[in-house]
Amino acid sequence: MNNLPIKFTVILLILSIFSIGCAKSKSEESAQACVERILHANVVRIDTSNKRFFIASQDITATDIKEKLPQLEECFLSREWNSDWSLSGFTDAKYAGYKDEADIIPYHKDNTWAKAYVFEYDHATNSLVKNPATNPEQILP
Amino acid sequence: MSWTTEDISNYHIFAKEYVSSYSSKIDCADLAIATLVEFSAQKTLPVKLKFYQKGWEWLKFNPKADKASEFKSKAMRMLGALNIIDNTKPIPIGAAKSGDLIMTKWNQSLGHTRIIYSIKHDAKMKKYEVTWYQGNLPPVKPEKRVDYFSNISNVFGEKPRRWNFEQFTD
Repeated sequence: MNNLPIKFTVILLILSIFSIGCAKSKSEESAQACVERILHANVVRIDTSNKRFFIASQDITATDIKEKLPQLEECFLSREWNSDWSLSGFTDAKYAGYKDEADIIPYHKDNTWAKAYVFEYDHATNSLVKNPATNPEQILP
Repeated sequence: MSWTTEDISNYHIFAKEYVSSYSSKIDCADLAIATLVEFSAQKTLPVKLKFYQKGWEWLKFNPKADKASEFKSKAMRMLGALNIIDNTKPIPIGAAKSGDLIMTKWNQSLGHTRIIYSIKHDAKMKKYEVTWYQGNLPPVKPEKRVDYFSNISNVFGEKPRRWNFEQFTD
């Protein structure tokens, strides 16, 4: 029995499934997943009002953000936050918040929140600041 | 070139409009500084803000000689909430107006600035209800908040503060 047509159909089916799978992963990767993939770090909080991802990492520095900016910009292309997004970097998820929030205020006693806030990037102004709450250093523009 | 009573009244009016229409992300102290400098530049009024760096020094704005945008950027870069405390004076809550400030000092290097939008006395509750706008850190588009003054935590000196306009004139 000639099973060549069946083999051909099966191969086509596998290829089409693979193709759909690839297309899906590329087009549907969220900005969050994209940022996490590029920085090898977790987005631990999202502020949709201010279009901000809070990043928690012991290792990422303002210099790393500067170097990876072209890739990070691609994460937001054709997305809702396209031209106006921010990344705030903290050394630990527990510090990821605004300075006047009730669960952040206790960290002001020994200034640990300020020390844990290691970078701020604002895409609208292309501003990158190292240590924004302790010894601010403007890296960009 | 000095601040008159009328200038100060106009500052209060200007601040209300300015803080409620500001649409970019900004730090809390920077919003207060921007409000003051923009009004001063518009009305050709001087500003002198003191800061401590191995002794007291002045950051001066002469509207006839200096570029307002440069002074504003410099002041925003150099000064924070604790510097604003140094350049303001306490006022009674009943006298507070738009553009006056409610400050917090959490430690020796970190504070918070709230800019009063409006204030009204709740006779029934015997409390002052304050509406204010604030930037934040990380920077945010100014947020409107409403609460009784007595509910606001960690208010520096337990009183609102007003720019020390008298020090702005040489």
